[in-house]
Amino acid sequence: MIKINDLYFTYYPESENPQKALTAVSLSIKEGEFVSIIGQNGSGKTTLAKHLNAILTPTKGSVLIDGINTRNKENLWDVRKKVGMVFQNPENQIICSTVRSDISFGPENLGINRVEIENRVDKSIELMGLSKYQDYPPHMLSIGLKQKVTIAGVLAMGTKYIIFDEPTSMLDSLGKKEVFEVILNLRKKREVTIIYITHLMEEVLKSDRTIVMSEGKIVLDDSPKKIFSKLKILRSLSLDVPIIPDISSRLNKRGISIPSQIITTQEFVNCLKQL
Amino acid sequence: MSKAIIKVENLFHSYMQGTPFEKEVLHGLSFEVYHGEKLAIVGPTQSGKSTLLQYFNAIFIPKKGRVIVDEQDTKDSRLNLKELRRKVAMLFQHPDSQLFKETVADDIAFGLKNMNFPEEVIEITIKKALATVGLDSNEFFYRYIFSLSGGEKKKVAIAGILALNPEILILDDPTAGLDPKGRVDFLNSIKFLHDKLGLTTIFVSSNMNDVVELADRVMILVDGKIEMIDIPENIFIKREKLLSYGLTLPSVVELVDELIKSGINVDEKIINIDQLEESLIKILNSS
Repeated sequence: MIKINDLYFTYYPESENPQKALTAVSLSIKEGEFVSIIGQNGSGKTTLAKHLNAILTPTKGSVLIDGINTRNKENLWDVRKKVGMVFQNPENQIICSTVRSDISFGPENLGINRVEIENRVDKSIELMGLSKYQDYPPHMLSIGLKQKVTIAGVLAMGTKYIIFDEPTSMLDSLGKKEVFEVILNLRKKREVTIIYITHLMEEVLKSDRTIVMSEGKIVLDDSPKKIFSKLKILRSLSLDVPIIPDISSRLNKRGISIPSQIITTQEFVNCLKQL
Repeated sequence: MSKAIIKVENLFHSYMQGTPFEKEVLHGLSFEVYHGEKLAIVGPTQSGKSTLLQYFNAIFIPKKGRVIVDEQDTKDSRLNLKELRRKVAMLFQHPDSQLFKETVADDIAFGLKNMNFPEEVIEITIKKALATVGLDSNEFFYRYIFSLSGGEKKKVAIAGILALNPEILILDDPTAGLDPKGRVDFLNSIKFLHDKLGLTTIFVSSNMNDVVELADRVMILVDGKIEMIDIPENIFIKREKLLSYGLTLPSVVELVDELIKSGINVDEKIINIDQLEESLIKILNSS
């Protein structure tokens, strides 16, 4: 369980213009959940994510990972063992000369024995569908495959919680689908808890729970279905609206009433047929 | 039919020519880009899109075939390269590979200084260019590049090339990595530039929704060959072909297919949400 209590964070607190990035954020995330976080650029999504593996520590308030307080520097390695992070650009995260050695790098640094490392690496290579590529130099791979390598690396660390910070935003449309597919697969197995920052509403729709951030605060925390029925709020925050709520609200304006909780194509079709 | 501003005739390109690793990546392309149009170039990765782009401003010179830009053959030894690159402005995918000065003003001034603009004109040209891309010059003139958001950086990069008064704008995947608001803002400023300045715009995109919103015509490039070049309606009707090339469909087109499959007979030629709205209204009113 991740527990965030009344978290405040300010960048450059000692400087002339300190920037408040998070204000009174309280949140708990249960094991096995798939939580998506959306919000405009600058709303505090990444700042919040960086608190979960102690890249940042709170200015005020606390972050507890399975009861371990991130503020205490002695806990740093314990926190990082539990919480892994996948960034937007895989190029920033790949360092070794072959796929296999890159995936091994993380667990090797945890000081576990060789047999265990090899087991974990094999398992994550298989989960990410990278068997064919394990001896390739990473720079020969497409950016989508590179992103799978970074995810495999995080998995091999044995992390329980994985934070994804817009992992598909640099990929082409096919790459986006493929990488999101493997993430959904992880979720199905329920072995890891997924905290997923994105701008893509089709991805948000697949999560269990969605947190909407604006100006450093949590403004909504609900199921994606409920969130997407609040079109006015989403639009006021300049967020994308999925296509079904979008077309429904257009039809509503033309005098055809479609209830706001209609989100999926199937629901939309059924509703049209009953009109 | 309007006049062609770029003509490409039987263009071939090989990487590592003359070595055992030689690989032909463009296989005899021929097409024209019309004056003032917005042409999208779409293709799966490794299809040769970025290679092709580099022929338009003579970063590459054809070894086989010809590229004629505004009636000048890029192979011609008398070609004024500096003038050509002013005329044909290129915006790279990552603004960070284009911006390298410390402040916005310095960065935009760089190109102007290279083109020997007089000092007194430079400041006013920078301010005009910032205004054209929708950035307030009071706020942005002295801003540090590193303090800008991704969308703002892209706009500054465009302002830098607009200051040179180009005629053709080349954009390599312009909305990749922008957030939804940044994307809408950026697409609007491209449309505005096109409408106001009449710039011929060629853009590579991996986002089919961008293609639907911007393009007058679409080229589908697969494995270094042009598979189709046509208006968007005629391109997106060939769903199976596009999918077989590893491309995706615009979200409206995907929805249209699902609606038709479920027995709601919207027009299969629909590509944007305005058309879908009208079609649904028509169906609902007649039932």
